Amino acid sequence: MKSHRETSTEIEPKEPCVGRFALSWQEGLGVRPKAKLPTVFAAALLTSIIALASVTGHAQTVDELRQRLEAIEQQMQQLKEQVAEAERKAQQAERKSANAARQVEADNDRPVKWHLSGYAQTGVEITDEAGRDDTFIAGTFNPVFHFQYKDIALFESELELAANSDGGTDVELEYASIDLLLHDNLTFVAGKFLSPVGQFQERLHPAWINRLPDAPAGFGHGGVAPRSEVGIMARGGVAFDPVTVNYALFGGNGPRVEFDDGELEGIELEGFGLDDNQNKAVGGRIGVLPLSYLEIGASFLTSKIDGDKEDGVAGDVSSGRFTLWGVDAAYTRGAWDVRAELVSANLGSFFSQHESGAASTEAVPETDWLAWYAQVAYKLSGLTDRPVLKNAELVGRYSDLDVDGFEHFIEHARPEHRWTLGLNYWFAPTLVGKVAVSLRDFSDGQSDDATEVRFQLGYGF
Amino acid sequence: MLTLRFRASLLVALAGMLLAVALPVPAQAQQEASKRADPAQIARGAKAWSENCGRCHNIRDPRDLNDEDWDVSVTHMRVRAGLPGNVARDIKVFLKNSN
Repeated sequence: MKSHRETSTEIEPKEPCVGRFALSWQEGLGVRPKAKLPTVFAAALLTSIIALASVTGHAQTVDELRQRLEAIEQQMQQLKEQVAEAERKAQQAERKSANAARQVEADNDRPVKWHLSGYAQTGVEITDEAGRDDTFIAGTFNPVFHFQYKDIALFESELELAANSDGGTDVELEYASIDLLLHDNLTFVAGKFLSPVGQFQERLHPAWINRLPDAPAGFGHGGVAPRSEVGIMARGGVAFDPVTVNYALFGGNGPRVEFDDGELEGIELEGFGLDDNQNKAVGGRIGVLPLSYLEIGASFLTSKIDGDKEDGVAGDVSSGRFTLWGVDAAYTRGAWDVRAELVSANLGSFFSQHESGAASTEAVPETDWLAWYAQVAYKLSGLTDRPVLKNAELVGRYSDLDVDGFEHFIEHARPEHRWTLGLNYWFAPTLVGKVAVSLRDFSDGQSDDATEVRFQLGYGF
Repeated sequence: MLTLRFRASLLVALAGMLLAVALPVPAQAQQEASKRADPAQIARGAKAWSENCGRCHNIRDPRDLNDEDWDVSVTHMRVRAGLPGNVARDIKVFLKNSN
């Protein structure tokens, strides 16, 4: 058996392939069995060179790593600074947010809150009626003020500022009332308020709500629908699911005769700041909504109206009973807005001066008024989603005013049958441009028929 | 006599008014519409808003006004349109959570 020394230096392979590998390995190192001394030195030198080259390469890698580490440390430092800055900003934002939230809470908790709203209108009127010219209309500016104290009281007031034909400005107090919210179903109103009789005067007259540029016949100036009242009113709403009922009951100074320049012209259904007689008007309205989109209402007003005379005119004046009742209905669903309203009034006979220069008072005959309208409006959004068309609205209305009785009242009211067709374009829910054509057929026996074209811009805010 | 009766009626009405004002306002009526409303109230308000506001005029975007403006504006509409107080509060809550 051979020794280990012999095995490592004098290999005699048992297997041919193993013997070849061992020989090749030893040859690669320059170690050959029985190699000479110079050959061993050469091998050692070669090994040293290889080792030195290896050590040098490793040193370069360490330098690179150190540089990268330093770069990472710098980046880490920058990130730390950025995180600190972000935290500082976040804390500032949090403080500001908390302050804002406290401010909002404080605002919500403030006992007195107020809101300024209102509306404005302007337009053009073209007419072929005798005695009238085509004109631009400065229109009106109606600021509405609301001041609320908690959920207890609300003061509300509307002014109407209008440029008149003389270049001046007219200012009217449309309403100013204090509303006490006594109960979920009861509000007490005191002051000057819009008449709740019917639906047009109280709810629909603002230009951005009224679907046409004008008021229906009999519902504007000189008409028979009450406009406002000075007095007290109880009103509210009660829900009997699914039916809702709203009501208003008021007492006030009531209407009076319109006596201008000594001539008895008509009756004024306005809220007068002071009464001219001891009799007070009583009126109200009840509205029923059997469905959320259908309202049916009934109204009444009763009062006494005194005659009037100038100083020195002989004879007594007396009062006549004024009685009014009305019904209204509104269907508002989807693109449809359909409304109808009727007001019927009667003024009993009374004594008054008829006109300037009269020697004495005379009996004013009983007079009846009947005003009504039916109106249909349809937004094209019910038909199309096209950007322009969907904002358009078609409107048609027929209105009628009949007066029978005292000739002065008939002359002043100018009874008529009126057809009005209109096209509206809604730039926004509270900004509308209107154009309408009215065919007016007067039945007072004095006025010729007339055709009018009106353009109007109405804006609610 | 009629005038006297009417005067008496007015006095009774005024006395009733003063009495009503002197009484504590119902707690429910004093509740302010809050941002922290429950979802059911917001849903009721959305329904009431869509059903009532369009009865007279176009429905306005809740974003048109801020919370305080809606508080006052809806109170005005409560009076004008004859809305029950609880319905008005629901509408306020919806609008203030949608603006």
